[in-house]
Amino acid sequence: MKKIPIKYKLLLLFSFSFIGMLILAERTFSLSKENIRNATTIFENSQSTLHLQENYIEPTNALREMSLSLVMSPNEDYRKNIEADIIDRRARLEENFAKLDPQTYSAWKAYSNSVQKTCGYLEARFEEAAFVHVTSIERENYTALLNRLKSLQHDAIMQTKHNFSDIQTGARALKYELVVLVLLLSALVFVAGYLLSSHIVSSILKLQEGLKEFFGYLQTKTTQPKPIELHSRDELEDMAKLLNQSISKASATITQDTLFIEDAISVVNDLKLGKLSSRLHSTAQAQELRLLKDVINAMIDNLESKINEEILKRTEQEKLLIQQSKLASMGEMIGNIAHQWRQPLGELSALLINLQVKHEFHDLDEGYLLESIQRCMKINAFMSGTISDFQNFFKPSKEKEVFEISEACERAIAILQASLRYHGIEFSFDISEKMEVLGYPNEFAQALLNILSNAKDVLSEREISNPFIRLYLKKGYKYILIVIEDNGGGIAKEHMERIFEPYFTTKYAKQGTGIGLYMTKMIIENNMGGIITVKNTESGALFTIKLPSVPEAEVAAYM
Amino acid sequence: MRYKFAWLLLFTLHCGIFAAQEEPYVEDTSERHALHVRDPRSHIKVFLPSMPYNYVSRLVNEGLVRLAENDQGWEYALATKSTKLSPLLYEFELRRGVRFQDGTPFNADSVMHNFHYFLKQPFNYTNIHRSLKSIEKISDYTIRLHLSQPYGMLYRDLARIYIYSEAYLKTFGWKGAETGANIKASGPYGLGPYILTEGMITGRKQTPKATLKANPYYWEKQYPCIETITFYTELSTAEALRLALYEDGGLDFMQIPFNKKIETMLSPYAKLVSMPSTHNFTIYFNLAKTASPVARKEVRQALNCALNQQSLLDFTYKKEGRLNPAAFKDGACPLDEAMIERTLKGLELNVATQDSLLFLWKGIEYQLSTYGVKLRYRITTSEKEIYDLAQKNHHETQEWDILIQNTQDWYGRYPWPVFIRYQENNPWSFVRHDALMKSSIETFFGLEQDDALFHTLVQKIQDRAREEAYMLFVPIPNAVFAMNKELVFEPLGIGMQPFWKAKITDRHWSVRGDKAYPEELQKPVIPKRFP
Repeated sequence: MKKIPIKYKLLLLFSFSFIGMLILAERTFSLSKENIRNATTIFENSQSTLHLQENYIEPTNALREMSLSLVMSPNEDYRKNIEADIIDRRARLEENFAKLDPQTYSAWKAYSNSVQKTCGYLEARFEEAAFVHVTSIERENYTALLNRLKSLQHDAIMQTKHNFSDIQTGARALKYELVVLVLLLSALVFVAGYLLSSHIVSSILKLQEGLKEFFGYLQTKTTQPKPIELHSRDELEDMAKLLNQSISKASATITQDTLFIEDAISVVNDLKLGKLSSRLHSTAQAQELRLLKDVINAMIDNLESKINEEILKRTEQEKLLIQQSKLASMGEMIGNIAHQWRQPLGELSALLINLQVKHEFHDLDEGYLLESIQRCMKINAFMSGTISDFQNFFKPSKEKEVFEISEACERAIAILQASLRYHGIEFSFDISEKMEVLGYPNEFAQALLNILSNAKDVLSEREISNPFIRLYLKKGYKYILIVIEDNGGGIAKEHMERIFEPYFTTKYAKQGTGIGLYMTKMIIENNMGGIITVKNTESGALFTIKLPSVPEAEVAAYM
Repeated sequence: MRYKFAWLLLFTLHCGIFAAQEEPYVEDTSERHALHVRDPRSHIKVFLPSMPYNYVSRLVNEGLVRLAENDQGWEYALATKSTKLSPLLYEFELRRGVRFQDGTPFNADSVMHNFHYFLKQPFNYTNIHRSLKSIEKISDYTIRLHLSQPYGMLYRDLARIYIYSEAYLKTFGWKGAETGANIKASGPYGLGPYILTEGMITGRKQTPKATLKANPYYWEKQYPCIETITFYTELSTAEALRLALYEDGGLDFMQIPFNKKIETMLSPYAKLVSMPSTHNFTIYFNLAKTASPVARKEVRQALNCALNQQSLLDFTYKKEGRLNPAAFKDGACPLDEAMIERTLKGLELNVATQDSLLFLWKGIEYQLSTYGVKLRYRITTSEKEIYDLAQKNHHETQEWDILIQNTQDWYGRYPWPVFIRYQENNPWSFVRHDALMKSSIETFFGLEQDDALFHTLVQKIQDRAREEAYMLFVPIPNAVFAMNKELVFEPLGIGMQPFWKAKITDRHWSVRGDKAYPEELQKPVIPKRFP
């Protein structure tokens, strides 16, 4: 069988089926022919029944009716016509009945004679006897004749029934024959079909399995498919060979493309890590992949140049920003210096006025003068110290260092204290223990100053009664929290998202630059690895700075 | 030889066929077995529902003449000869050796005595009471009758003037009645072949049963042949038929409805006998009831015209009868069809009838119903009630519009039993103020039957009655009887049955003893039709 091609196998199967159908058709035709033959017999039987009805039963009934009418006739005139009809009818029936079997003819003769007898009674004017006769003996003979005719009809019907039964039996037998034949042929066709199809199907299944494996490989690219082992020596084996060639070719291509893709992924990962110098060097089989390689490389080139451009641009921007920030800080600083200097300048002025008064009133002695000079020198030193403080405050830290966070806080507070006092803002600073962080202390103090300064501005602008700013520190296991809270009414909801953006300000144009909080966020998050968040409390805003605390061992290393 | 065998075979076959087709009817062979000597056990039972008194009186009593089925309609009885000496004088020779039922002798004195009674109180349903003037004794056995006017019905009336014994006359006197005979009580009071020994019977009063015994002194010594006759008077038709047809010894003689002929013929015990009769169904219109529709002549005419006489004869009478000459002939109706329909539409009439005559009413009703006539019946089994309704109508108008009476020919093939219905002031007539009819009837009384004018006048009276539609005319019925198969008797179609001539056979139930009636005799007997 393995040497037979599929088309011949199928031809064989179809031949079986065709021969089966031919046999069935032949049997069906013979059934039909037999049915027609039987139906003809039934028709002939029916004709016989009809013939009996029309030529015997109905005329006999008519004769009976005539006989009764004769007896009922009121006078001779009626009788004459009926008697003539009876004679005629009897003659015709006599002719008909003579053709039937002796038994029926004998029954007819009996009835015919009784009709004659009825007529005879009437002729003899013996009407009572005629009536009795017509209702007794004649009726009996009539019934007997009719029964005989019915019996003949019955025989004909029984014959019909018998024929019909034969047809039924024949049809049933043929039905079984057909059933058996159909079953046999079906079984034969089925077995042949089954063997053939199972052979073909098993080949197809192998092909299917091979293809499934191949497509699975195409999807997962994990296990390389094995070649399809098919030796059916038919079209399917040829197909399997072709498929095997295709699979091995496709596998090679896929392996190369996979390598290419892996290379591409590696390049993309490099890009993710910012290694813009990474390029795709592998070669793919697929034309599209080769094109993709060129596109990716071109894209990375383009991206690299664009990023460089952008970095440059951002650097420039940041420089500008820092400049702006410095200018702003300068302004702020001058304001704060002014606040710091207001009191010593007053004291200086008072001392000078006292000196002038004493001089005019000639009350100026040397001691007082020296004392006053001493005091002026002190005041001058203080003011000079203030300038130094400010200079130090804004001097950028050179390197990361471990610093005491409270000290940085106090330095910021010191710069702003005079201003807070001036605006009548209550300020509290709560620190429970020593806390050290790794970072830039001056930048941190500046960032803190920005937050405090903003709070002060809001409190003074919104003229909040009993304004306060609270600063407190909390130390956790890994982090240090610096919390700044005020009662300035908080940040408008619509501004909440944007307050750390550069150039965003809620102050009047001349008063704010929109740089402060941006710089603060940069210092805390970019430079010191912390997190700054803000939220509104019931009365104002609450800024939280979360900085990683420095373990003691690390602190010692920095010492 | 071969032909001989064939003929033999044919003959055998022929005989076989005849044997197989045995004739179901047998000839009446009773006469061959008749007992000619009266057996004291001999007994017959008779039911004659119409005018039984008439039949009984003619058996119990006898007059100078008696009715007979002959051309003149009568025959000599107590007289043996008569001579018409003049139109007003008749001489009668009396029979000698005749004895009354009580054994006393009969002679001219007996006749004289009875006629004197009669002349004092004659019956008034003929004209005898006006015609008979006197009686004269010529000798012991010769009398003469003197008439006041010629009287053609004399002999028939003499057949109704019975001679009673002295004992009867002394006890009961003479009581004429509308229904004639004087049979006030049972006893040996007459001269007839039978003695009424039990019951009494007149037209207006009767016992349900009357027993007659053979008169040992009867002048015809060979008669009567049967010892006892029981007369039933009031059986219902159904019961009487059951007795006559299906019970051995139930009834020996009865007049049957026409539609019972077949049953009678097939009866195991009875045979069918029929003959033309001169009886009639007298159907009165209540002419005395002025509010009745039938008081109008057109209504009476329309009713007569509406009847198809031939159909009645064919279907209702079962051909047992003949057309009535008094009825309108085809196309002779004085009213046109539209007039008949108009006149009869919605007519409702009260009919008084005996149940035995309902068969006739069904036939009449069927025909009249096509014109929209509705009949309401008052049905009785008693003829006396019918007589009462007729007679009372003279004094107080009755509810009935139509009344039927089964009239037996009590006068012997003579038109008087019909014409009596047209005679003014007659108790059996409701005709009034018809001078023509009155004059005709008066003339009729004076004419002898053999007079050339007799038939002309009869025709004239019939025409007048038809024209005035005094009656609802229907065909004249045959007399149809159920008679015991072992009764040898030739009945008459008039109002008399000469049972004294009747014989029975030795197979008759009354003489057979305990033996059952033989099965072979139970076969139907071929009906006998007279003449």
